Amino acid sequence: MASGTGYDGGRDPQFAAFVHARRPALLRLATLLAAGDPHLAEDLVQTALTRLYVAWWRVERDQGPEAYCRRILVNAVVDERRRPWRRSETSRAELPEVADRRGDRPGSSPEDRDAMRAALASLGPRMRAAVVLRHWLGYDVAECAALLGCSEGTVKSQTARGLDRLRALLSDDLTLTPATQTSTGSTR
Amino acid sequence: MTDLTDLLDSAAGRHPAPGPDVIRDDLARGRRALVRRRWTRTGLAFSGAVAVAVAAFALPAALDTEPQVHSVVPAAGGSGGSAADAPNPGVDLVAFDAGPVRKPISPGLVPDGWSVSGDEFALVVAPPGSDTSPADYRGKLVVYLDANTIPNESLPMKIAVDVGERTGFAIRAEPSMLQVWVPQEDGTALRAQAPKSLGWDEATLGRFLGAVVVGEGATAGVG
Repeated sequence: MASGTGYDGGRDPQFAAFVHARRPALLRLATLLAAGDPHLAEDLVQTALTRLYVAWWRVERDQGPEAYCRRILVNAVVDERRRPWRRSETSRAELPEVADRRGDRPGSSPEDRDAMRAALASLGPRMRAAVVLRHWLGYDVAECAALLGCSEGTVKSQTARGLDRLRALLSDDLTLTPATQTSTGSTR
Repeated sequence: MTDLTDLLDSAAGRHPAPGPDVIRDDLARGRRALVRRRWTRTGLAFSGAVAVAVAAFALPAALDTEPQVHSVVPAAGGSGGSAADAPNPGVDLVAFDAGPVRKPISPGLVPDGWSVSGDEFALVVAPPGSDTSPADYRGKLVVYLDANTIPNESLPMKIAVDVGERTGFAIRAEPSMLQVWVPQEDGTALRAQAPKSLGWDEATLGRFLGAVVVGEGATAGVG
């Protein structure tokens, strides 16, 4: 902000640069949180970016746009009152049908992707978010608890139960390679 | 063995970098949300001021069908001249150099020592040392275009204020701020609000508003 001589740089170019650089990563996170629903993922990202634009100066100063957007995405999924549903959820009495991946070799085939998304859909929103934050974004338990607004014990139990269910659906020998903590600039 | 992180990575999918259209849409949504939020902060205050003004003058209006026009009297001294000639209580106005690239809503004068920011929706002039967001209008001098004009006829007693060579109007209902607006040729209204802490009177706010230049890039907000 200048005094008597001109304007500040404006939020638009900074916001546009952030969107260009980080929208794909936000969409990937939203896709996981939405268990593969592309429409919900896009809604979540649009909601997060809209709120980011409004709060740009404060966010830039306080926590950074990436962390802010992640928080919005997680909160929107966990707290259904903040969720931008285009359509209501459908509850099912039974788990969705998932291809049996036990015995298959790991890979990134469409079948693997679809199986993982279906498995994620079988988790509750908070459990799903805990698994994604811990084992994809590499958050530690304390960071997860802060973001989810719950205790560290809850994060541990939610993550453990989530992994148990994923193992049951996907593979008994599901391994856990520690995810690298990702912040702004990462590929995730 | 199957690695969970790899599976999650696969499930996250691949998304290309957004094209110009996507970025433009994200910007547009953000701008609309920002305008809505500003209106919840300032538009409501302004609407409240209008409601109070209408209520205050409703009875005289019912008794007197010919609208009255009252001119702003300079705070001290003066000889009844225009607002531009009025004494300038409080912080002095100084010329503003907009530089080679003029913004959509640009001031010609600013309070001495105050800082200028803004976008196509609003001009925001903040006091020295202000470190709040430009979107936070509290304690600041703000000018914005309003697509929802208030018909003059709805305010039986118009408080006239010289705004450059035009006639604007003051709203007197909000104890913490001065508010002056002037109709634009395109049917919108250019509104200014200033904190009382500036020490200005409405004539000075009108003088400030009269020097504001509204460019083609300015966008009128819709409450």
